[in-house]
Amino acid sequence: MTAAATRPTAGPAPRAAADAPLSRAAVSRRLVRFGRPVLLPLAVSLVCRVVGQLLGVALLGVSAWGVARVASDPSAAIAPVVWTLVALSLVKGVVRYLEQLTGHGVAFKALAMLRVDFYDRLAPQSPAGVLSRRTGDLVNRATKDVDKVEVFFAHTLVPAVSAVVVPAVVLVVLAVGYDPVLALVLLPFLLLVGAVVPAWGRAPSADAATRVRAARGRLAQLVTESLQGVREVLAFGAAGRRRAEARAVADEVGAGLAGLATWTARRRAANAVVVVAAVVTVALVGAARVGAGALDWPTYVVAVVVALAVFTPVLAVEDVAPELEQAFAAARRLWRVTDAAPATTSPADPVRLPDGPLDIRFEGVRFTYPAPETDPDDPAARTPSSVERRPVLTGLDLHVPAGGTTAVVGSSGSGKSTLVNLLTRAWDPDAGRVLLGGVDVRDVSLEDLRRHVAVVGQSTYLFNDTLAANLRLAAPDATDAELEQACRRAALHDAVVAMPDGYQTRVGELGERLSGGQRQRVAIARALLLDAPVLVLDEATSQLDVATEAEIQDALAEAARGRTVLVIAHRPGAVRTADRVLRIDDLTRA
Amino acid sequence: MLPAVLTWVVAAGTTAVYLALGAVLDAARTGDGVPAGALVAVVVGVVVLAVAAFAGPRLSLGAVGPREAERRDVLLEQVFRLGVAYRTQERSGRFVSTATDGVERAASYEATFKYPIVASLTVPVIALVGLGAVVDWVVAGWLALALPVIPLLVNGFQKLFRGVSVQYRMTARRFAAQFLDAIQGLPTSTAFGRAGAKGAELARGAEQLRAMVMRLLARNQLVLLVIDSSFSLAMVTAAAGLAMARLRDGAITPGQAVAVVLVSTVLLEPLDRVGQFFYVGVGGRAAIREIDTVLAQPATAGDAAGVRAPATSTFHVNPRPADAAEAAPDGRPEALALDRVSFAYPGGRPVLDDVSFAVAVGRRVALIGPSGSGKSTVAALLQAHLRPATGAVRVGGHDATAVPVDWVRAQTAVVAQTTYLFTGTLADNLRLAAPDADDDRLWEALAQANLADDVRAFPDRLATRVGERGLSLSGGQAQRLAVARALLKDAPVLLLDEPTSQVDAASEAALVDALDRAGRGRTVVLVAHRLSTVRDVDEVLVLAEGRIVEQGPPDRLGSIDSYYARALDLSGAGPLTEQEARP
Repeated sequence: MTAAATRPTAGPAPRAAADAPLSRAAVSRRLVRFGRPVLLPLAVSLVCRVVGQLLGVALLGVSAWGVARVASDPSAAIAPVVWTLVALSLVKGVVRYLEQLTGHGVAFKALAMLRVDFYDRLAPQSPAGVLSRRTGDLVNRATKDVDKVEVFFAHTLVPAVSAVVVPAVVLVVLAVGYDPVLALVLLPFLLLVGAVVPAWGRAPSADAATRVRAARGRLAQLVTESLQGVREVLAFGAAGRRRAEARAVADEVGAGLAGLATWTARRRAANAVVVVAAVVTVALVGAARVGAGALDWPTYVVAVVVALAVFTPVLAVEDVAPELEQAFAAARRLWRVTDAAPATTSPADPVRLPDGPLDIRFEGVRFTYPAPETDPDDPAARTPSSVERRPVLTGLDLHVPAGGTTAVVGSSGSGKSTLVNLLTRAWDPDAGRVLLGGVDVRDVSLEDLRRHVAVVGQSTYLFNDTLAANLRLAAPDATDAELEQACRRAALHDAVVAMPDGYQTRVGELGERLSGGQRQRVAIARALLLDAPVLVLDEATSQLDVATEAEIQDALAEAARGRTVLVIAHRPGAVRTADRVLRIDDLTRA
Repeated sequence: MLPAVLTWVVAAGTTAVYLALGAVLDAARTGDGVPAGALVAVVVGVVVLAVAAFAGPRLSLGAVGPREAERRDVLLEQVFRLGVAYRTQERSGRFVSTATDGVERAASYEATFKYPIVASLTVPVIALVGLGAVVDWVVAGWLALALPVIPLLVNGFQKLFRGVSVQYRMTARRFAAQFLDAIQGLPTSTAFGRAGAKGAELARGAEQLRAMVMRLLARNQLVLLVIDSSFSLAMVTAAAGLAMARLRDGAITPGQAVAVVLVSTVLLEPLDRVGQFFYVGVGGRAAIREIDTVLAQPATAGDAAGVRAPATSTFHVNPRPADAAEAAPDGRPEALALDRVSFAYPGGRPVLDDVSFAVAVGRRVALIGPSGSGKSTVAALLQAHLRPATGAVRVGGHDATAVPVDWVRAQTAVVAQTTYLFTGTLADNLRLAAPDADDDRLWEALAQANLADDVRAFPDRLATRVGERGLSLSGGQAQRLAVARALLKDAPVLLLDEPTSQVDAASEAALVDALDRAGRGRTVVLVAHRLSTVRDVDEVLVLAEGRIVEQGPPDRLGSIDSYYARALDLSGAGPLTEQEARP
């Protein structure tokens, strides 16, 4: 069973239950399965690391062996030993370079894979899966959690494996080639550094880490709101109070970090002591064995030095262990998003929409928005809403005749925009049906449906690309002449020509280089390029002032010609061109 | 400084233990018993080492939290100083990431990396001093010759990487930005059936950038090869060679020779740190630069040196008359004024061009004009969010630059187009305006703002959660909450900046009613492009292209061919012709 089975709509689930379905083993298996394309470079990186670390041990072992040889035979040649060490040093450098390079290769490949995979899995859930999540949440998962999983592939897996392989090899060599007793004496110390110390204080550390994350989340929100609400903060002279609040939360972060620091310091001190104790113990036990004649001195010396050298790879576990935990938690959080089922899917045998003008009909439509997902990993979203979900539409009937313009007005919260969401199948109604050209929209493929309905909404998302690229979103094959024609009709062409790069002007992040009116005109031009028989204007001019709105109205009237138009507005002033104006409250069955 | 000393203590303790082991090894060779002195040295060394190895990380890691808090506080202070002008959509994301992620990275770098790395890099000196004192100054001396190699290598590493790390970070950021753009625009892509195509584009872009970064790294990571080999050569190989040579010469004992090999592992300590330059070091320094950029931003409006809140103002000289309408129109003191004000955004065309007007205490004035005419700029000037390029803004009879910005802002309560609700309870949001207000006062303000009945209907009443994660208020309710806040602030001036533009027709009446009540007995400035709320004003000012083009009582302007008259027509439900739409 995968996380796909735990649908977010299942309602508030207690933390343990939501976390339970994926055991660590299951997470590991799935991660490895996902990481298949990077397994080869990962293996190369691992081999390089293991070889490099073995060379590091050998470097010290050979040094000890050379010293012992000179001790027993002062006339022994030194040069060959030194040249061997030089060769080992150079090879070790090369191997480390290769390890790092392949490691980075894995890192970037994994990052690209994770991001593309996240996008690909989120795409079928769009728009419902994107719109129903909190603003910063998706972005957070898409950045921080993806990065943490990337760290797993790039910087965690290889050190973790080599921390086991290298000491194992060294121990075997020590036991077989030198002295099994000393190998046995060394073993418990390796287990201490590799397993016991990293686990020491893990539970209180995890608690402190959770506290820190929760407090940091609140801090991020406090900072965000201080900036977004800066006008209010300044108007009410609340700057000092906001800063004091931030400091109070920061103190919580600090307390958590101090707790973590204590445990980290304890583990590092323990490791330092254990390593030295291991070498001392091996030296003392070895000395006794030499005294008893069970061991010759040169072998003893090599064993003591190797006992020190073998800890280098094992010490990495202390750093890697928490990263492993974080990567697993991040993977679970990512999958909770990517495994969610789409709110709507195309039917197996789609019906084609008829050609020509299409009418729209809502029949007894009931709809309640699904409860927002409760997320055990996000403290802020953990508390399930105690508020009863209120139905937005309760048995709505509406007919928009083909080729005419029908306006629906109503106060905010009355469900006007829900009409658009149901018509374009962001969601499906709980009861009743939505017909387009007489066909239930659930029987039409999503692609076909979206080709037939163009929506101009309240705000327009523009990609950080050229104006032309943003326009071609609606018609990838449109020629420059077609773009120009659409922009002329949307009263945008003159403004575009006045821009330094014309249609090749980059619109900036979130289209920041265009004014609100220009962005809406881009949306209209896009709708014209899509050339869909149905046009929905959802508060398309609500963000604009009277004069700009009046200008856009002309463009909208142009766009409406020959199409079925549904206009949604909260003030009747915006719908002067409609054939009929309906109040949404009047459309609901008693 | 203390953590650095502790790093050296750890190295000293470790070195002492290894040197003592030399004596143990010698004793084993000669068949003598383990020397007591060596055992004592081992025990003392381990104890010192344990204490220092705990205290060092505890101190340096423990310093991260306070450092973070301090850096963040400075950033927040700066944001409040930069004020409204700084808050644009594209900056807010960047600022939040600087104040969270950036601060964390900078603090971690400063506390655990910047100085500790210096300590690590100098650790070999400690080890060599111990080696020289106990074993042989010749070995220590020759190895010391290799020490300058460390800073040279580290420095060279940094230099070589500076260019790459900039390129690398730029590439990585582009990669991340592309990804976020695709995610945030996903609903749009879906609407046009282009989600798949966008995904393919993303994958292609990701692959290109990856190939670019790898080419970059393949060349520059060669430095790693050099550094790793150099350390192995300069420290381990050299130590072993010297130990063997001195042993052959009979200058040191075999045990001491082995101790030299053991101590060479302490000499390798800087090696581990060098690799971290790429991650912690580069990231930390970049974060500090990011923070410095924000801190270097000049504030658009700040306090000049030595400004003090005035003891009197026109608001106080002439207390608010109980009934404004009955007060004589002449002889009233001036509440607000713009005196020959011009303003332009940096690099932009002038927004205001020689604008002058005055509002007397207790009067109601409407400022109207098409979007882009400069209305919002006037509102921002009156709140000291912006400063005029030339001319003066007067509030309460004082030049706004001669009094603290906090004082200027304290004179005006604002109800703007949209109301920002902070995450928290309704009461929290009201108390923003009056931290000490009791519940009775909050209810009173809510009643005045026509919101009390709505709040009574909420199950949690004043404790109702609002803001992004709470049960949100409707647009109309949020605006009435803003009115309640304005009432709680109880400032002499009420500035209404298109307060009804985002409100649906049904809730507009309740809001307008509340606004009327809030304006009673106050000086009111109403900014509007829609005219449904422009009523009962004493004077209308019409702004167009940065100038006041019409000015007068509404009945006079309404009767002549004016922008005001045309706008009045437009806002009615009457039919619209193209000519009428143009001001």
